[in-house]
Amino acid sequence: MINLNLFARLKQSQSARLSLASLFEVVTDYKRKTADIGGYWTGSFGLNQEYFTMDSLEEFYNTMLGCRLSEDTAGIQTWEGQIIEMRIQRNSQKWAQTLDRRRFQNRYNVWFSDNVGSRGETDWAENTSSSAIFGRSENIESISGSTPELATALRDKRLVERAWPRSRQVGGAATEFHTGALQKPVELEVYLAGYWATLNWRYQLENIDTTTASAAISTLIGNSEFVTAGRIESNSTPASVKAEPLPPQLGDGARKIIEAGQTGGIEWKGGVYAGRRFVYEPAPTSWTYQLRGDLLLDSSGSPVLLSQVEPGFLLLNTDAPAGWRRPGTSTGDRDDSRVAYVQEVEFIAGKDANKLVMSFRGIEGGEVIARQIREGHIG
Amino acid sequence: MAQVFKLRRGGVDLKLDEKGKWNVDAEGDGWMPRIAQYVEGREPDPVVETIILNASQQVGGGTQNDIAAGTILLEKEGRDGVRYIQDRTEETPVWMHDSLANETGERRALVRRMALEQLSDQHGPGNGKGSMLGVPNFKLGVVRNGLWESVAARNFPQASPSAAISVIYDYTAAGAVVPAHDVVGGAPARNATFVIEPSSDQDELGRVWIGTRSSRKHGTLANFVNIWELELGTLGTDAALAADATASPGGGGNTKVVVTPGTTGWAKRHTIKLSDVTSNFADNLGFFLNLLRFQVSAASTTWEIQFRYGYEAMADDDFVHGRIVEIGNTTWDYIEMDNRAIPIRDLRILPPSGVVSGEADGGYTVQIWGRRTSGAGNLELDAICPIPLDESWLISKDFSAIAVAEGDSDVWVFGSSPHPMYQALVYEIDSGTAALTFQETTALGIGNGATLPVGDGRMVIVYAREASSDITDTVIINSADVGFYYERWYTLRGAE
Repeated sequence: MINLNLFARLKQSQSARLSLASLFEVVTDYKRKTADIGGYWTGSFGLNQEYFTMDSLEEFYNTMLGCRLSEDTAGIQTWEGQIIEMRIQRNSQKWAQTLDRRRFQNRYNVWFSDNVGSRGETDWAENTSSSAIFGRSENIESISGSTPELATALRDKRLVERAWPRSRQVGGAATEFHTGALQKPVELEVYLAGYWATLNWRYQLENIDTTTASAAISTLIGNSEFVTAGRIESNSTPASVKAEPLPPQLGDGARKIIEAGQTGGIEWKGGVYAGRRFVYEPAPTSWTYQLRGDLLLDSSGSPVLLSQVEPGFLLLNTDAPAGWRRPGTSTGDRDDSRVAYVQEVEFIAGKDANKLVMSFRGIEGGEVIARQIREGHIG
Repeated sequence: MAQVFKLRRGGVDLKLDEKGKWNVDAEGDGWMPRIAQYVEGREPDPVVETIILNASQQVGGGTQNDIAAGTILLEKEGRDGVRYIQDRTEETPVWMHDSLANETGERRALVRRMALEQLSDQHGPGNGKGSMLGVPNFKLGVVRNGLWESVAARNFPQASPSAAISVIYDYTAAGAVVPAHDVVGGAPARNATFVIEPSSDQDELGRVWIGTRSSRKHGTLANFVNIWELELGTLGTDAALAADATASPGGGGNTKVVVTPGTTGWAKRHTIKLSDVTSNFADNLGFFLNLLRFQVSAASTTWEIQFRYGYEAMADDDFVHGRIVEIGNTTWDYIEMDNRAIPIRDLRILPPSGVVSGEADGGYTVQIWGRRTSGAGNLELDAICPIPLDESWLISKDFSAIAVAEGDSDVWVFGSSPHPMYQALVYEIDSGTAALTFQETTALGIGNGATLPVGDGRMVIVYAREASSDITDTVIINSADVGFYYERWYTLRGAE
């Protein structure tokens, strides 16, 4: 039921590159997470020599970084992200290349202060060849006790270091070498990140003066390269975004607004979902899924396709004890001790049964309890 | 036919029962074929088997060099088998062929891996069971596909359906050269090659959705309703019917539902029940991808649409919400709404007779809720086209529109290999030489290997342009009976 299709990088083309339609045959350990704040979050899978030659695994490693992966369940997109990192292992040696923004930046600025406290900043410098392929990944570095010339030199050095995702050996020098029958098969680990990650590739450089929370979210998303505004529900709570002393990245700015919710203690959720569209809406106040034993069902009692379950829902656990309801007139599901708010889901594909791990807040607030659901194949 | 037990690659055979070499008939082959385990929704796992090869010169007068030639070929084919699984440039598989001495049909299974193991001393007289002149015995370990398939393919019949927003393709019907034929076998057949092309240079093809439905699982196929014409339903808030020559002609004629706000916020715009479109409820059950054919009436208009599912007597609040999708096409197009089962209730829990009558399923209801989020255009709805998902299905999108141009034809071709890998490609066929030129790959979705269920069956096919739907477009399916499939079994084939 679940298919993976690899597409070219968003900056380059929309065409399909490789269809991993027979998911269970050719990839190993496919899993991915979706979060109530963030949307499609992270994922990973493996490829090995069971169904690929060594050369084709190396070709994949050499050419697919940044390519877009779409997971579809029965024709409906259920996850999307880009290949953010890959690691290839040959015998005991391993190499990696990454688009993690802590290591990959192709547009740089250095903010500095001199010895008497005067502040300045360099011009932005960009490696446009890199950004034409991968998109723009910005960084602002702040240093003190500097001169303009030194700050500029630092800026240029960082661009040289970080504008391209170079493949580097990881894990130290090899201590053993094998040939022939002792050679281990080549293995490729592929790591994915949802397009929320690219929100933090850019900064909100101008102040967003006090406006509604939903308008502030729309402004932040409007400055993104790959994400567009989808369903942005109206939240009239006043919000603003300050670009000083250091501007926030778009994703961090959005997270702060989403986490605050709405006046009156109303919880909100938001993230990047199908088609790279940003969805911002109130968290539900009624349960929509239920647990009966080890079965995850919708409100009608029908089993659900686990890959189509998105977080940010209320889950009724029919096995839970009734507990003690708070006094007063509240009759909301959130106050029902059998109901939990699911913040994150992790879908894990399996040969014979898929699994869904749901994470929700436990009694300690920050504690996360995971509940695993298995399903056989529906089709 | 006579017993067959061999390996075959690219037209070259290696008989595993060859007297004078392996002598398995006299000594027994030690081969007890494993029977693959059925798994819902995917191909069964490969099976691992062993064959005892009793190298002997007792019958037939073969030499030790003959036996060595056999072991060398086995080594090569073992390597070739692995290469076919790993290497997408290796186009020749290794097959194991088998049939019993009096079994009518021959079967073959893809060999994925082979390994030889020696069972007796290399040198010395009378070594090993059944050997003469010091020739060792071997054990051949084989990993093969769990399913046996027919050696000869069956062709799909050509079909040229009339223009419609969803068509039913009878792949068991007679074609120009193929007779009518229900799919035989113990397992669903492998859909090896399937071809769709536009009928003329006026038509375009950019997307296909295909779902398969068999009589074995779903009753009377002729009663399946593949188009739920929305004018047969119940109008909701701000909705009215309007004639439109570009809407689907079924139901109430070329008619659409037009929603003209009034209310721009969320409201129930339209409702349709199973009983609105058919009285044969039991023949319309299953698990579906619901496609909605829609458009908006003005540019820069966005509507959000949601399907809600329940039964007609339920309160609106109790309906199960589907996903919210955003639409804004100013020409007719399809949007994938949800995957949903009809009925909602579990048929195993409530027996269909004695407690509830079959008519209860007629009340299965889809509510269409919508709100306009930008612009001033109206929402226009044509039909819901359910694509069956519970047996096998295939979705191919994101390919540049194919149109017949200047005598050359572009075709969309789906193929699956035995092992299996799948691919959907677009080719150009040269009108003079009939040479195929590869154009592009397409994004692909597959369910249950896009296989053909055993018995009588139909494919529900929705085809569309790359970013719109034109009611006048027509296609040819498997022109000149060109597509083909392989029937498959878990064990013996017999006379099938």
